[in-house]
Amino acid sequence: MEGSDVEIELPARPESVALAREAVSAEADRLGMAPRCLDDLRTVVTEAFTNAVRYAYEEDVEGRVAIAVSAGEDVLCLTIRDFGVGIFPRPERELPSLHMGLPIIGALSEEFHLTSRRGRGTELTVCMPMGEAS
Amino acid sequence: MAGFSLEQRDLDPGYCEISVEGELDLAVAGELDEAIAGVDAGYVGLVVGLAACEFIDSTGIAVILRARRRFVAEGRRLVVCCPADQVERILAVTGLSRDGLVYESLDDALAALRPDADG
Repeated sequence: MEGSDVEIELPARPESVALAREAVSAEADRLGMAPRCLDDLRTVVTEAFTNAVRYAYEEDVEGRVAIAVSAGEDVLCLTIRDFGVGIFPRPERELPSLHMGLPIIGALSEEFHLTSRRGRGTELTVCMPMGEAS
Repeated sequence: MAGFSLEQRDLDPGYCEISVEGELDLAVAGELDEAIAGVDAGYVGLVVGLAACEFIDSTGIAVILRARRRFVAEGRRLVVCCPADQVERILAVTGLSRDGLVYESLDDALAALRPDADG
């Protein structure tokens, strides 16, 4: 399998979500990820990027979200990073949500790690299988 | 990248469908929310048709679930029909395909909306 070390950075805006989804899935497709796994990858990228768009930055801040893709033999790992405020309670910013994003990521991935640094952003690393389990 | 569009059409008297085409995510979920909110109160049942919806995320699911709560509070019903591929998988992963929200065909969805249907 050909290696990958792709990085992209996009504005933290709703219209960037589809761009992130397409860029990452195109790279995974090039690397030979199975179709069903590609669907799950597209979902995971979308949920992670959406969380960054919705929660990482104050409303008057033009933030950015970076995605790094690294492929191994059987897994593809993504790191989705913002440079925002980190995770902490902000009831004044509570947006309508069912808080399903991370549970969906957990259900579809092999593992994920979430790191939040107050005032220095949040980083989510997710590893996805390249092929369907036999 | 798929475009996104919504189309509302009448079904049987008192029932209508909003068909979703394209990819339903954060950028466009508000459009579905507004379309559902704009369904005339004279309709007692709404089918959200997902046959041409190629992608859905938790934002889109949240719009549908909140709309269903509003419909129930108003004595009306809302169901989803005909999901395929990624949409079907996410509805299953989130457990929603087991709670009477999702139907495989438009006929099944309409039958579920009838006053004599369970739920």
